[in-house]
Amino acid sequence: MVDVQTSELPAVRSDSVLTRRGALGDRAAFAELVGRHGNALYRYAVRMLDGEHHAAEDAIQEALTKAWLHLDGFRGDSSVRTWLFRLVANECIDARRARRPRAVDDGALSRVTADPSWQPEAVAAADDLTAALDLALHELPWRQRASWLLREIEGLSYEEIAEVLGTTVTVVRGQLHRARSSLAVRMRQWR
Amino acid sequence: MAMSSDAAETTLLSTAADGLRARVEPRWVEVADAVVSKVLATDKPSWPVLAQQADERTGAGLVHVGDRVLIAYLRDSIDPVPDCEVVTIQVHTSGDVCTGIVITLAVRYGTGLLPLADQVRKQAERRLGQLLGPTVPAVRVRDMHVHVADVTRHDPKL
Repeated sequence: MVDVQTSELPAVRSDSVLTRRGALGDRAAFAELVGRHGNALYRYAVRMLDGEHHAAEDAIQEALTKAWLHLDGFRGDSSVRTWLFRLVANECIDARRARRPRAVDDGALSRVTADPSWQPEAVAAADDLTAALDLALHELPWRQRASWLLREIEGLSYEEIAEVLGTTVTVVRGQLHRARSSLAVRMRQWR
Repeated sequence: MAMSSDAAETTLLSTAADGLRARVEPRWVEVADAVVSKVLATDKPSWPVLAQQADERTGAGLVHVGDRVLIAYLRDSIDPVPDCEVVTIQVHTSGDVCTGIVITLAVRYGTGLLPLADQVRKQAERRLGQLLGPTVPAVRVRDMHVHVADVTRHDPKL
């Protein structure tokens, strides 16, 4: 067995140090921060924008530009990861509004338990289980989808999700409950 | 014993979520560098600080340096100082003339604060002189305030 001394490991700088350095103009530190969280931010954005990669790229770029410009205003009340998710979530909302200006009633949609267009055989033909989950996620109302992604995939707390989505913990709990029920139904059809 | 339907669905969903969580987004891998480059090419608003007065004899015009440039270079100059990390740097001006610098630090517990502050001040003064030249009035050591805002048990650079 190879015994690796801790002191020989490359030093990993914390998010707060990278943020602080970015605010002081350290571009490499900001790039490192993006390298650390970019995949998760993109994963969230592309699923909130129904798999539209160009729209997701635009949303990420806008959000990161705002982060870069306002790093020195970040007070650390939340983690920088939560703050970045909030910026991305806001960009996704703007992109969705621009694409579909009519408001959607989450409650009304969540009452629909069976979608007649749902094709289990089409899902079964998808590459893998993750692709099936993606299809199921696309059918969720956006608040449910956002809450589920942030909780189950990104591991944010209820309080952090409420902050990202600009809502309350109670609403987040409700959205998560409905999202889990809807996804369970979808996955049952896939099974 | 057969798994209940609900438990099977939960397991299925959990397995799918694990797959999604572990996934590296191929499109992000392709575009990440380009996105970061575009973001970092965005200019931050900056306040001009006078580096050279106009000189009618030589015909030289004013030279200004953005305060964000000063801040970035000052941070860079303090970076090699061990056991401390810059938290903020404020450039104070009167009009466009630099009148003082305030450097806020996080310092490792047990570090001698006064020698450290002196070292930081000297580094900053040297770099400021390189960037602004002989400023009038001169920004000297006494105009540079070092404020220790945090003491950490670990290396504050990490």
